[in-house]
Amino acid sequence: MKQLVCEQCGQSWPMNETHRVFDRTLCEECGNRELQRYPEGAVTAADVQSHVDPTICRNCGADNGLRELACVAGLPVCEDCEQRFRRRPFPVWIKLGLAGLLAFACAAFAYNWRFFAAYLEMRSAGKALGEGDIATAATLMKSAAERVPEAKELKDMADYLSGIDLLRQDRCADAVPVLQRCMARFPTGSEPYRAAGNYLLMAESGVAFEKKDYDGFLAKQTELLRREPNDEMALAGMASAHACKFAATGDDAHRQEALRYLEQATQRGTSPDIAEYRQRILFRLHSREIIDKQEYDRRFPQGWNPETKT
Amino acid sequence: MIVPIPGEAIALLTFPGVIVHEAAHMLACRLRNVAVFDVCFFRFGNPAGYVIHEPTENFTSVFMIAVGPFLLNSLLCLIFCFPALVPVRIFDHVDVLSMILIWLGISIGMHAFPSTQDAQVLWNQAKRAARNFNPLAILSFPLVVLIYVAHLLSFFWFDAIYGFAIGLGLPLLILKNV
Repeated sequence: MKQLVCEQCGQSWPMNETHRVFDRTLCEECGNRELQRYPEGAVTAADVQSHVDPTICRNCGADNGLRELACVAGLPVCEDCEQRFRRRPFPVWIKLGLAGLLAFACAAFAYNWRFFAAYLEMRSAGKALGEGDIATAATLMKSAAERVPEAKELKDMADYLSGIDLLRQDRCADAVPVLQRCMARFPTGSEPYRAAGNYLLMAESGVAFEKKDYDGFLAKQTELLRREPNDEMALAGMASAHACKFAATGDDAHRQEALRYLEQATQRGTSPDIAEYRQRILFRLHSREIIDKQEYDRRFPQGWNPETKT
Repeated sequence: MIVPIPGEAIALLTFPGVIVHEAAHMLACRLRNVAVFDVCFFRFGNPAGYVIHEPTENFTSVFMIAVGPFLLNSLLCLIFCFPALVPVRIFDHVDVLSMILIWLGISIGMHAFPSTQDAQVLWNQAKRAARNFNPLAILSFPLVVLIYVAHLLSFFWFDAIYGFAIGLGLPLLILKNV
């Protein structure tokens, strides 16, 4: 501890108990007496300053003898107090609170994992759909719908894809009720409603074809073409229906119509599906024999051309 | 219409954010070995929380202490909102769990911006440090401007908008584009 001598009374005082008053070192008592001589308001803060003993810790008051302490923010503090300030611990409630909340977030993530898994499956289904892999898209969407039964749209989309998948497998009779359910749930006038309606018409025309109801087949294809006048598959379907009518009745007008629609479909579509469909229709017109795709594939694994032996 | 709500009421409703904000300041002080004299994590009043620490001339310390809440609050906002993100934003499935998570996340995100006092300290120190081409100091200038703009716009609930953007907007954007 450092000592200073009061310039007024001449006594020695601990440094922390002395003040600098008008550039003189005074003890507490002499300092107060000196200040009383001045009128109120005449003394400024700069006129009176407390001395700070650099050997006494300002926080805990520990005496460091004559050795000066290190300063923190300009004030002397002992090593223990400095460490306490610099390594100030977080309160236990803060640590526990944060740990608890992070654990809560992890648990919530685990609890909600089914939503994330369903979302990932939805994304994969969209990708599969983009690549034309309807079967995979339908399976993924069905799985997503099962994970999140609350999301009715997922169930609708899963049914929709499943309906299209059945249609692609030529299971038209199975596809009809699935697509009808979708139609009932999709908002009227929406894009999915319109698309499901078209697929339903395709499925119904397929059912008519299977039943050899060629008038029904033609009626459904006519309706489909009315809705999608520029769609190559609708045009090809129309050609197919007229080819069936020609094969069944021998009416040349149907043959002409079939060829006209086939020409339009070929002009619009260049996909392998259209090319294969075209050959089937031409075979039908050529032979007046109506066979389904399975039978056609069995007979003509390399595709039919007029020179192929039937 | 902008509805003025007293700051104290907002602080009370979003108190986890205030606590995390002050904890982030304190954490930065601890990491940079800066003495902390007093901490208030939350109180009814203005400011709702504070950290009193020693002044420092080291610019990295100044930067970290000022920006600490911005980083920690934003990160925790993301962490707490994330489990509720897909159920709420993708599937419109709002339950109590999601509401708690979103309240926590947004509350924390809302208090990400450092105070104007922090910005003022950062600005003054950055001017000095920039003379030595300190990259952090150069980075600080737009940051300080952003902090001031954010405070001005807080009247229009910019702090809440930021919380929503960090908690529910940005991750959804990333999720949809990954």
